[in-house]
Amino acid sequence: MAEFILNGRAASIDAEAEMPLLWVLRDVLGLTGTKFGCGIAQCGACTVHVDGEAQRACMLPLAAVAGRAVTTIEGLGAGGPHPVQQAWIAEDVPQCGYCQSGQIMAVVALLAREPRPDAATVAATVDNICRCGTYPRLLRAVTRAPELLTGKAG
Amino acid sequence: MAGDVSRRRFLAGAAALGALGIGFHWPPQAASGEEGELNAWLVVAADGSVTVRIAEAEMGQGVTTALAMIVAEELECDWRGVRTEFASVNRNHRDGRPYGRMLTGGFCSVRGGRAGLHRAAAEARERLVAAAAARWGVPAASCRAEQGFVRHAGSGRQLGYGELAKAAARPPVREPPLKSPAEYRLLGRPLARLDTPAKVDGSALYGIDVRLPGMLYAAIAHCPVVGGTLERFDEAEALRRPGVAAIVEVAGALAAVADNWWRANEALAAVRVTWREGDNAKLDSGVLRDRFRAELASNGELACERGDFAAAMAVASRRLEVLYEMPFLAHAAMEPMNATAWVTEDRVDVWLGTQSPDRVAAAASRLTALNLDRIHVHQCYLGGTDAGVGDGFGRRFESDCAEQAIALSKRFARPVKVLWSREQDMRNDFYRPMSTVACNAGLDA
Ligand code: FES
Ligand code: FES
Repeated sequence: MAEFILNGRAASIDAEAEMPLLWVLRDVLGLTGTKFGCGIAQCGACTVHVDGEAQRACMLPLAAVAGRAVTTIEGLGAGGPHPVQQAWIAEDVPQCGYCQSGQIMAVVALLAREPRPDAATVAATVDNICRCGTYPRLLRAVTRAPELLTGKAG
Repeated sequence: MAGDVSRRRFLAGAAALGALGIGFHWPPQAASGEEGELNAWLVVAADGSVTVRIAEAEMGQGVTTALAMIVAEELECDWRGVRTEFASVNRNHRDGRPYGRMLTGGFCSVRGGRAGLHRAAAEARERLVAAAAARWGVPAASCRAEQGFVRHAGSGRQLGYGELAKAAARPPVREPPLKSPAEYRLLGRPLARLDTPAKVDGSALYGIDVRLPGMLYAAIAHCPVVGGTLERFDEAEALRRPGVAAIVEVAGALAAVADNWWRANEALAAVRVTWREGDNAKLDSGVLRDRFRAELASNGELACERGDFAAAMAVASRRLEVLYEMPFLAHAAMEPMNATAWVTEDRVDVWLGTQSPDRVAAAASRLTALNLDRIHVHQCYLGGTDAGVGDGFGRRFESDCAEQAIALSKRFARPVKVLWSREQDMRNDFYRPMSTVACNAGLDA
């Protein structure tokens, strides 16, 4: 039994301690916005936040999130689109869209630490794979997001 | 069992998290005879919003938006009220193939479908105009369609499409006039994609996201050698793992079936399995490379020769001999291969992202001996199919994974989702062909 906070609510899951969070989210809880791409922490499609930090859920055992706060793409936009999602919409970033939940979660975590990252920092930090090659638009959206974030704050 | 979340708690938890909205209707709504349906391509709701049916697969190319733009343009409706849904494959079989061959590839979704969509939308528009004219008792020629309304110039009266849709469901207009490009409001303008909001909030439904009541999950191991089959396996240990329902053979591969995919995949690793590898066991990259080089030398085809090659080479000051070698390459779609099937006595439903729903339907019919009118293939978004690989043929033209799901659902009489691990996906592709190309060139300076 693992208890943690999921998207702002208490969750209590009765499953193997070593079951990766990704499959707890997708198969046990039905939160399918977090995607499976590789299962070995290489592609980033499964990125979620654990206590605000970007983590790849496919290799994160359930036990490791006990007592912590997990946010998924569903939780991110729960109160209307998050500024980063708005920037994504404004720049029309997704193509097939499959990697985008993970990209957005990775970018939100980065911007929380570093509000105006340069292109090199984005490339180094958000190393999620996009098979469609949306990187240039992603970068444009990341540049636009801080304005939206500040707009929201002000 | 101890590791199980009780079904009631599971549902309550899922509902609390807002996770039960699964993007398709069950049971599926009747595809034809639907209120406000003007023809197979479009439905006008009472509030005037328009649903455009998309008969192509969306795998990143933006086809739902492109095709909806064509319909909205010719229909003269308000773009802000346009949404899309995937066209019914079942209806296509029952209804004289209004969507033609449902096949996505070769970069021809817009080029191939455009003429038909213009006609279908123009035809619907003309019927809306005729319905308004009839209601007002004026000639249709004195009315015009504009941005979701039919307007009568003489009296200034207008009616919204939503108010006219029911009355417009009349026999088709034979040769509807098409708008001239000079009148276009949408086509040729860059518009925001309609599918972006769903692709940034996690709600877009890919094949891998489909969930059905009582669904089982299957992980698959194929013979590590292409063309090999299963010889025998010992599943005793795997069956002792939590949540595992069965370990079975499916079409020469091994399937572990459990109550979630991770448990299935873990169980698979616990099966002791012996493969019949077959002749390809001796084949490896080195053997292939040598064979291709030998073939090139003895049998290679001349693809291109420019100038007087022999004469120029004889006097060239610099000669280049380059060998280009491309290995077999997997499509490596971001979304690993998957399909979900639900086989009952008189009906088959298959959910997946597919470039060839017709092929999936044919396979379902063959495997269950049910007629095509009993087969329902539900198109989902495709994750990173890379339609651009080589010749434009994508991995999701094939029905192999769907066939596994259908066979397993039939066997267990429950919905089954088959998902391949990334490793299985890479090792069991329909690979882009290997090639060896020699280029000899002479430079005169
Ligand atoms: S699925 Fe987790 S990183 Fe690829
Ligand atoms: S948008 Fe297709 S993989 Fe990134």
